[in-house]
Amino acid sequence: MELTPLLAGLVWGLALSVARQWAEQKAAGRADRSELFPDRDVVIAFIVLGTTANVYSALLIASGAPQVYARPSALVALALVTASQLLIFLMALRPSRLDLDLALAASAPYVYLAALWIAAQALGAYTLWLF
Amino acid sequence: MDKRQIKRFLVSFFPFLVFLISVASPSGDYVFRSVQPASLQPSPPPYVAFRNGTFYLYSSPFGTWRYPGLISVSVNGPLIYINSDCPFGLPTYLRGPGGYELDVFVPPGYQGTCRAELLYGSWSAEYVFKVREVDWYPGVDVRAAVVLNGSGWQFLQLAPDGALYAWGVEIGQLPFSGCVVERGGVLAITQQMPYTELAPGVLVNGSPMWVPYPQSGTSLASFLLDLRGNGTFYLYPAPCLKVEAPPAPAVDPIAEASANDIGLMGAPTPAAYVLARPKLAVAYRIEGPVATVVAANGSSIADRIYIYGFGLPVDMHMLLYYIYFTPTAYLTSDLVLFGSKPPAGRLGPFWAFPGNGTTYYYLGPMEPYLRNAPLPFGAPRGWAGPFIVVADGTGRWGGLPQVVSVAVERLGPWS
Repeated sequence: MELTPLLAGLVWGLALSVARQWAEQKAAGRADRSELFPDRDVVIAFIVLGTTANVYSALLIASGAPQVYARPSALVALALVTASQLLIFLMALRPSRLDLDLALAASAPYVYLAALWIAAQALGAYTLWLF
Repeated sequence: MDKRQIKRFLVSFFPFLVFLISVASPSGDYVFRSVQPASLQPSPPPYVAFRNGTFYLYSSPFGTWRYPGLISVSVNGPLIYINSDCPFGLPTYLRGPGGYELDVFVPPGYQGTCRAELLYGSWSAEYVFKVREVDWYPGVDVRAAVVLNGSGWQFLQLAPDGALYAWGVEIGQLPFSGCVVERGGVLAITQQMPYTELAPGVLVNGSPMWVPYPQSGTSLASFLLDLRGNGTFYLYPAPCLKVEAPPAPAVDPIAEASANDIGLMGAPTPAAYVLARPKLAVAYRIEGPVATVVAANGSSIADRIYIYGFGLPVDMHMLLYYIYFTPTAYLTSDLVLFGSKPPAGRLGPFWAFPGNGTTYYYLGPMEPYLRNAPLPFGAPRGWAGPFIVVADGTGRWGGLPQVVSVAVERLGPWS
């Protein structure tokens, strides 16, 4: 584990979770936020952890430059990570009832990386970027 | 459990997958890179075959055979492990990123097959080393097989241009020079003897006067061989081995010159016929396991004499001397070159002077020295030499050896 990208991601995730609190407060006014957004505990945790994972994986993939940009599987991973982070921004700034589904969609890069990793272990490859 | 609970669980779990990959991969974060952990470039020397990841190496009975830079490794990752059952002195890991030239040291006499594996996580590359012992000095791929014919101990010297000298006389030309001599599976002790020109630019009988002088640029590799008829030795163009051996016994060139009347000069004067012995003093000495050189020089009434005594550890020694005739007022002068008695016989070009247990063989220059007026007038002038005296206490010495044949042998890949 690399400590620097981990901490960088964590700082971003915490900042976004604060932004989410602020956005929820603005949307709910004087109403009860946990009634308005029933999955807000999981979603706030996902904003922190998901941002950490996104920043971490993006920095690690970019550290393999420039050879890694020749691998389509790595480019797909980068694209998925970027899309996932945009969804997390959306969740943080525009709280809605669809938060849980958005979070599930934002988990796509992690599932993709896990699938690549299992395949790499099965093939005995040293790298995730199989194609 | 309803769908929402499953979603809540998955959303909490999925981000950890990235960290799980990072922690659980055998190569850590390196799984996110796409460049190979190490790129390998085998660069075998011409006498080593390399096919299908297998090196066909040689080992030598004479010493460790070093293959410098046999495998070039460019480490791209943070670390490469080397897992090997070879006794080749390979490192156990290489830190990256960086380039390495792996040297392989094959121990003397090693034979067999072994392998080395370079590892990083699930990536690995394997090399197989098959080693065969060969009767060859390690690290060189060429040698000269020289057949000499002679008898008794021979003091041989090899100049940097490949000229082969025996007892100070050039007897042949080898294709290259070197300092490692093997004979019958045994390495001879060799000694680099520094040489310089006694008078730079002056030629005597067409050749410069090379004499031992400490801290000179030119070195002659000197060694001793005991010949009985034909004998083969192998010369390898390799640097000298360090020899821890006691120095050869020194000879006293002053005592030898006095006992054999070397440089005894006679000149007529109006009063009488003057006989003058040169006054010699030791100038310097060069010690070594093969030969200890004691240089002495001095002057007489009409000449300067430069004499070099080569003491050898085999009950033989050599004297080599040059004489410079200084301008003189004496109308004629005579020089005793060696001994005052007539020689007892000849051995090749040498005059033999049997002594008390030691036979002296004298070889003067084949041309008379210059005079400042035609005979019988005038006095000798200029340089004369080299005069060579071989003192044989063994009774077996049979004159200068002859080079019978010189063949260059090359080491090729064995597979």
